[in-house]
Amino acid sequence: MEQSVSGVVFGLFCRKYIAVFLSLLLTSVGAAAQEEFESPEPVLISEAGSARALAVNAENWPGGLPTSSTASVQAGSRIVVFVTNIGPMDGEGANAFRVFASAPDGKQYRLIVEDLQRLPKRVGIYALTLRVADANGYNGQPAPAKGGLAIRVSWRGNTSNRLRLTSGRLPVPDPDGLVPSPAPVRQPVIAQRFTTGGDRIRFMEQATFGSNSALDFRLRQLGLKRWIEDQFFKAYPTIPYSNFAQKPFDDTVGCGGPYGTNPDVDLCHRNHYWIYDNQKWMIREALYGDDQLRRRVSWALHQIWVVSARTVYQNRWMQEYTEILDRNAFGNYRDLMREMTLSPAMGEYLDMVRSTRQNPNENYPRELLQLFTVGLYMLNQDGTYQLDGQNNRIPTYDQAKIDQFTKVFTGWSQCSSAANPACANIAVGAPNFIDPMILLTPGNHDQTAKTLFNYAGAPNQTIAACANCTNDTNRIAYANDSLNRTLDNIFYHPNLGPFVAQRFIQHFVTSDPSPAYVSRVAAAFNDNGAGVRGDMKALIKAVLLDPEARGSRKTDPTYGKMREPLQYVTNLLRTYNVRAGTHSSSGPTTPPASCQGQSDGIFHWIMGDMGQDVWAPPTVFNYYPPDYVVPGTDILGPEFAMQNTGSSFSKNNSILYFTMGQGMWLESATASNPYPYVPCGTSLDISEITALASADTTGNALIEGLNTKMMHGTMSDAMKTKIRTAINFSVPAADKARQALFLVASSSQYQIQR
Amino acid sequence: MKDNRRDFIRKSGCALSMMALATQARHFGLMSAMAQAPENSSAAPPSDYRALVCILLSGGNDGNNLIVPNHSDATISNYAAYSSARAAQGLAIAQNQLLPITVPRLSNLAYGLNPSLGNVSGGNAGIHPLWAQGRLAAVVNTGNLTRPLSKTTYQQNPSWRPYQLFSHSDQVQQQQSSRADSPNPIGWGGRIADRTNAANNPTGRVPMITSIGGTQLFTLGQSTTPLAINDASTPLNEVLVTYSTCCTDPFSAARTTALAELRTVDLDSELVRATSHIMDQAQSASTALSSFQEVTAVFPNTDLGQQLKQVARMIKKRTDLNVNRQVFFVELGGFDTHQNQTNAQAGQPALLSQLSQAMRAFYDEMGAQGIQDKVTQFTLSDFGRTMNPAGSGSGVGSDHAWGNHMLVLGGSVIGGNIYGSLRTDGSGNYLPTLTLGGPDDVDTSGGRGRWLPTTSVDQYAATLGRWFGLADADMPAIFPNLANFSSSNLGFMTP
Repeated sequence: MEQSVSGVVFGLFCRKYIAVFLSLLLTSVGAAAQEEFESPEPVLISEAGSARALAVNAENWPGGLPTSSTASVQAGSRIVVFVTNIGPMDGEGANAFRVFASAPDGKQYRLIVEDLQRLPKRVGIYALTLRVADANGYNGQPAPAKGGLAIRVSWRGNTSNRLRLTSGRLPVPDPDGLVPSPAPVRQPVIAQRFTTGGDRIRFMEQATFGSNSALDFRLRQLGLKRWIEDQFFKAYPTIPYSNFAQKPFDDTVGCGGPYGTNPDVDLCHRNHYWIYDNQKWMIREALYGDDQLRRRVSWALHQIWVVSARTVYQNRWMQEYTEILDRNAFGNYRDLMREMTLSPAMGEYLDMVRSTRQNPNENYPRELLQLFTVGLYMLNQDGTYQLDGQNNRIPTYDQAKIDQFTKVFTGWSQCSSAANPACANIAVGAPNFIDPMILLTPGNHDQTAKTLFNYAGAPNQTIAACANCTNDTNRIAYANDSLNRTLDNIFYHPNLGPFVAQRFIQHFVTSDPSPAYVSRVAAAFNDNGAGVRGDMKALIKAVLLDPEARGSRKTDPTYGKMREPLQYVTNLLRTYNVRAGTHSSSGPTTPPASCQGQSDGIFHWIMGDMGQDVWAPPTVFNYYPPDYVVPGTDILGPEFAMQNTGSSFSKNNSILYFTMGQGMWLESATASNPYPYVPCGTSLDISEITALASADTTGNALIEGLNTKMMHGTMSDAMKTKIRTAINFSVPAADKARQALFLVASSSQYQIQR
Repeated sequence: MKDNRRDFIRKSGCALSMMALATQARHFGLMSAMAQAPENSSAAPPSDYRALVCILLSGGNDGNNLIVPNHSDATISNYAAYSSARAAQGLAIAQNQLLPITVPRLSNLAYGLNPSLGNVSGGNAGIHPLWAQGRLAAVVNTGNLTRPLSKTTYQQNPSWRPYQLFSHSDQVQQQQSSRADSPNPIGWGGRIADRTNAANNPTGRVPMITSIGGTQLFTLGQSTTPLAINDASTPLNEVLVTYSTCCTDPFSAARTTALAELRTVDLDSELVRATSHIMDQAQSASTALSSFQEVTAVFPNTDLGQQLKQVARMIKKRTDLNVNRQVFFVELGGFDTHQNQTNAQAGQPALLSQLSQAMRAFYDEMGAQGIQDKVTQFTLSDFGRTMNPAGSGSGVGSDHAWGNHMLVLGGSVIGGNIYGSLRTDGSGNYLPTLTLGGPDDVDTSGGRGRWLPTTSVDQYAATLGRWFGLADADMPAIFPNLANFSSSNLGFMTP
């Protein structure tokens, strides 16, 4: 509503000027305007003139809005509270809301929300039934004593005012400064937001490796939805894969000598046996690629379907794995399941390549179920755990089931038969990590019957023993058929939708999404609207265009995610026009022409220092686990698993070199070092913010510029004041710009993407 | 070979970056931050210092090849029983390779330690000799449990089992949380620190827990977050150096001030607050660690060796840091030996050798510091591994299982013996019967040898916690399932 008004105003404004641009501008503004989803902030209703939440016990509630608070608040009580200034969508019920409570001792609880009802006779007011109990109980259980609980309601990443939930006397003065709520409203009010495209910047942080002006212009032209669709058809990769030849396992054989023999041998090691080139390629793709969305999706898939260069150490091997991720990023999850299962890199990493009927290996089937598809516990469609009568989670499978699944994945091995036309990419003397795995020795496949998942409607609950495995042709056919049936049995498991939805939301938007958000995304995964399950395009749109993702500001204190180190660095660099280095420790300061002015993407060692050595996660559980809880809270925060005293400093120092310093220096080729590691270097371009610092000596323009581009307009006044004080010196404008940029980029406020 | 290559990549990368950073730091005149503060030498050493050093063998160490029967007594699983389960596939250790130990609690029968725990040419004597010296003990057939189980109760009561048996991520978490009943974001190291920090380290300049292996579950408490630092390849006074707090010119000083003050605002976001809190902690620890004295023992230049060396440096600095109780966490990965377990360069022999050499160096260093009896090293691991091998020949390995053997080493350990709980079948043994499909095998697929543990990690942890200073009254809050077991003290620590 508000947006259409501003659209009209903008249109009128345009008409007064150059008519030629009118239609273009109207189109572009129109596209964006249709899509802006600003959600209002809920208001929790208080007793008149009091900071006490209007609340009644559920069993005593006659319906309607009570005139005073009569609730007896005890541990375990079911309480009805009242919320306004919201506008739930169809299907948006109790699981779209969270109620957070803090006790006088500082402990935080997440109360169980059981029901949402619209009050039929009171327009715009909703009754929320909650239980004074914490579902996960990390802090124990709330026992409302003196002072009661300070509660607030959050919805779509926005939070309400706080009120006191208590049946005792209200403390005077209120220790948390709580005040009565504003009067209920009939129509949701969206506070006036930003005119700086804050939501577009947020969108770019979520959907790409960082915002920049060119992308922002493109988004204005297309709108978010059409930009996503445009990305679906973008050619990829922008930076070509390196396509090094496959080499033997042993590097000294493959390179004609150990590392250190001579520069050419060393180059061979670097190109073939280290992940140097893949890291360089990945970071350059992130910095300069036009296929940003595919790159983000592929990167997220890498962190679910983990293969690590710590084991799969040849560049060409990891490249083939990456190509599978890239190829399936906008495809169907079921196809990814099959391609990844038969990937030689995965086969090597999780031992399927060694699993035989005689000596089965459980590693791949176990992780396929636990980490890649259905997870350990039965899920509701909104991603919450199903519980049994004793409130325990229900395991998805047990060891006996693993044993059964294991049989299906026996007998496969690398395509190393030169006589087999399927093994077209075999290289003499080297293992074949390009062609999918095959049944080289079909007799190694387990031909006995298997009992798979038996959820309601499960396809292929059993696979019969092979009836005709008297020759290799039939054995191969049986194994292939069994694999497809088994993957279908997994693919249609009801856990898959919420499992994938939760992880994708965590990778793109927020670490601890509301169940309602998970359920909307899971629904799109389950059915793309045309009856197709597993459609990645539908999944991605649902994640990025959801109202919990969109909006220019989110106020829920638990909302957002820590930028993972790769995002952290690339976001900063892309925002300020990342380019080649401008300094060298010795020698010329102009990068070679072959760099074309661009960064070489070589800063992977700072990645390792910050905890995310690109392509080389420490284990199959990724660089960080999806269920990591932020220390001192009960909020999921996967990326916090990498945040500690050491990596905090590494981040600070890394950012310092790009901002206060000249970035990564470039390294010239010399007779003794013909193959430099950092041929182009990396720096960022501060001319834009220097101009702001120069034009406005108060520093305000500089700070607002940083606020818009890095924090999409959400920088607090307190933060602005601190930065203004730190740059209020008679120093060159460039120094001010660098100082302010460093302070924003290194801040906790920027490290959290909200 | 692969690991060496990896290490090389990592280390060469780090070396380059440190060099580049240091060069640039000088360029900016930022090095003064690294100026060393004088050691606080006037304070008396803490009178009652104690430290626990947790060594996580991640991936699941194969305990079946850690302690092996080396006798032919027919009443108890003997070498022949061991050999018959593993020799055909090439996973059995030859009897003449085993390092001899005797076990008083099993009538002084002969057992053997893995040969990698012994003397290494160019290294040290390993931990094997410390068994005979009474400083090394094993806590056997221990695992994640919520309550004591027999094979029958295990089979009849799925809900009594630890959640997600045989899954790495869950089992390694339960080892660290001692909460086999449900997922929990708090580790038992963290809970011990929550309970004891204020009383023991009232003016401590660093957190009670220091982790060289990242912020792992073991180290997280309700109010405790660990100090996380790099291994000894980074000098202790450089593990936490930020180049942004350096100079005295007003403009630079304003940067330093703003950097600190920005962490005091916008704390309504819990994620921002947590991020700022971790950085605050890093800053104060950085000040506390601005100088150190090098250790005297020779530590191996290995992953674990360098981690334990860093721990030893911290301990040497305990007086200056004003800490009376400390918990350390280090981690050695690679034990998930589904394949190539016997590989001398990268398999279990190499890993156990690395473990033994590093533990021994650390033990000797504690001797040099005069506090051998104040510091106890102990191991955790995801789980044991199947007695029945996976694969055969040179690629032979083993799969995920359950009951496992732990090592405890220190001057206060009543070593030279095994500890745990007697099996309930009256056999008089603490060790599992090494028979596939036998009385201790709870494998469902026909006897791969997944041993039902008789001792819980809670009992093991509580025994260590008691030595550290926990009172009986502290136990229920820290180990909620401990009361289900008959003993909260396995007896391997001197009081």
